[in-house]
Amino acid sequence: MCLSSALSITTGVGAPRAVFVDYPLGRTAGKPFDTADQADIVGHALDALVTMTEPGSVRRLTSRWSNDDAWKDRAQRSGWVVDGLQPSTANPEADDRSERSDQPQWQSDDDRIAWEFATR
Amino acid sequence: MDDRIPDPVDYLARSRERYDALGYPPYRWALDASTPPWSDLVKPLNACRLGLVSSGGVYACGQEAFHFRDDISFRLIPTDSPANDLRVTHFAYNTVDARRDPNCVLPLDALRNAAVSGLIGSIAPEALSFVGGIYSSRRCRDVLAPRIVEHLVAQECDAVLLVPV
Repeated sequence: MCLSSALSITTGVGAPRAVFVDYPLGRTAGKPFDTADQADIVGHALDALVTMTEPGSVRRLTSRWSNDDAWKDRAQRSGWVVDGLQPSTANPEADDRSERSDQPQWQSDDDRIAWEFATR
Repeated sequence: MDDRIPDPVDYLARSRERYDALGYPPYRWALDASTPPWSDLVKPLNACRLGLVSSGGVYACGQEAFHFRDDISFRLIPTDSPANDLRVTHFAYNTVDARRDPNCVLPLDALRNAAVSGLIGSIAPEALSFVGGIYSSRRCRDVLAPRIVEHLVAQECDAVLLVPV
């Protein structure tokens, strides 16, 4: 059972069962700290797991990320850094893409220290 | 299609726009036109053990972070981990919310609650996470995917919730 926020990609790869959540990428399993929203999405996925019968079908949830769909205009579009958007909950699609690197990209330096300690 | 539902973002088209704007050759998506494989659920949901796999780049504190150049490694994350032990790193999506609440991409709380309430039988002891953005679909299919499947089978999962990012 696949949750997805990228409908065209999910239908393109042919997931056997999918539930589409129309949220910005990185929030597919629900809004941050919104336990009711997260439970609702996972609950729909579990229900779909039991009730879907057609390979490749996608069930679309009606949950909305926000009252308007302005975030969709910015999603994964080049140029939005130029607009001065900074990544935040209010600007969920502002670009914080990073350069490709083959070095571990720690969330914080404390994580690196914890890993070094764990592997000592 | 339900008329009340707004159109989704077409990320295939957006990626092509982005590559054009950067002067790159057109992005070549790996699309599969064959009929998707299918397995029937052979047990009632409340007897199933659920596995959890996310490409959101989640690792536990004490584990090595992912890197951003075709990283095909994955992390085994104990499913009893508290959210504040989990970290998120990824080059291709805005991780602000997932770092605040990893449940956005790895819904452990919701699955744990589903197990406690009896909606599902249990959750597998370890979830798996990796980063996407791997430019070789062959390495994903032939190297990463079989290793993930091996862990899911070893944990005797009856079904798996996949959360691609």
